[in-house]
Amino acid sequence: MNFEEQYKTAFSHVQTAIDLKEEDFYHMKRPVHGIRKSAVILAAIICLLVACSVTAFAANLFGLKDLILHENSGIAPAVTTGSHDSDPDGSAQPTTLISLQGFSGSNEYKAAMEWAAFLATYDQDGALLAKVGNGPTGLPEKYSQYYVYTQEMADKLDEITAKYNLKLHRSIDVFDSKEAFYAQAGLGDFLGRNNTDCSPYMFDDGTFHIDGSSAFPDGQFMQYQFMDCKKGVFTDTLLNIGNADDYTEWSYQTSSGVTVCLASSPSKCLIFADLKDSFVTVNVLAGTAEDSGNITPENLQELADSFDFSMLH
Amino acid sequence: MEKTYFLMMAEKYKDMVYRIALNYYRNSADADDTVQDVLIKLFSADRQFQNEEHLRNWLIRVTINECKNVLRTPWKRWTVSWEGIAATTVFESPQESELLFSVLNLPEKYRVVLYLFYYESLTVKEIAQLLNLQESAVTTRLSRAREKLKKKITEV
Repeated sequence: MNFEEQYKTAFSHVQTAIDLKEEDFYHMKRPVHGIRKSAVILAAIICLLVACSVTAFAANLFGLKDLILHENSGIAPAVTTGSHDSDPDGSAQPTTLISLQGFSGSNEYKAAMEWAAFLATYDQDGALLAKVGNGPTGLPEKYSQYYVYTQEMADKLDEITAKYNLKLHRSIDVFDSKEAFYAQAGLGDFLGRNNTDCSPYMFDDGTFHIDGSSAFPDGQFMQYQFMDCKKGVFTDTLLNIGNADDYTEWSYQTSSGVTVCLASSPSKCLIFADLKDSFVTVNVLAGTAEDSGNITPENLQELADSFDFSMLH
Repeated sequence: MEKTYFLMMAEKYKDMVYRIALNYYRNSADADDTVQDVLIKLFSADRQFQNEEHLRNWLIRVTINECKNVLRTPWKRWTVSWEGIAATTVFESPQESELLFSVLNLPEKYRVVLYLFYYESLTVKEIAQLLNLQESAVTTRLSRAREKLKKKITEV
């Protein structure tokens, strides 16, 4: 039995306890979820903190807009409408892709933009991908960490990385705990004890990604994705931040002494750190809106303080 | 929507909605809530579906949106209840339960992509559209999810 068959068999046993009855749908009410925390107080805190402590970046130097992949690059983000349906819940969102590799002007940013632009125009009808499927591509192992399934794509990747003098990821390790990850990466406990539920993976060159969560004193948790891209290496990951105009940005010196860029929007918050050997992005899976976590500037600064950026090398 | 047709479709797809929601929440009670919410939306949907495939795709999209909305509340994310899943699911072999719980132990972004790809047999392009991702991100997530599962189960 192959993996797909094993997967289908295992999940076929998973069934809802809901027993449908016709009359229920005339009386059914939306289930009541947990009681919201003190939204009024938090809203007041947000207003106060936004008014008092947030200073927008003048001229936006080395801020969010310096990470956006240029609109004229031909890069077409995934769309939310199309063959499936016209958006039934009004959920279609603006899409803006940013580089996680470095600010504009860096070789890593330029390479990411060129590669994304290439992908946006290559095999648009998916015919070549359909031919390859999920089977082996027959290409050398060195391309296995990238979205490469034809020789033409491999050649383009080589061309871009040679042009910008970047190395490729060769292999990846996945870790069950942050302790195992620290040991292999040669890093100290830069996440600290408040950051739990970590699921790291790391490439051979030290570039790593962590899905984690941070506990706050009030008992809330914040989920995030922590990406550390080593300089001199090509990483093809991009991030969709929605509408860039929705963000408020400010610089902040963390308790580890490293100055980072913070950005908050109603649906998402971000932390950037341009370090000596790597570029760090923390994608916080919560925003300032009441229904998206009520994240305050203070919360975001607290999260930034929970990471010891000075330990990253 | 015509009542008989609604009940037939609701019965047929309620488990699909539940499984998608379970992959988001890892919590059977919340997943059941989402089944209710999504079926209410279907029941009250003032629209015509071109065919059953169209309706199924609509349900998948609405379920994903519903789950994302619920997960926007940070304290909602942390009510993980394995007992509920284990108590209500009967497996035919230990390997099946091992695979299920290994998958549910993966981060959310891997679980959902795996489910849509392997169970619902959606294409990479369709998943990318549903989750508002680039196709390369979907492929990468599938590849990394399989990589992570390799450490937990015998053969992927």
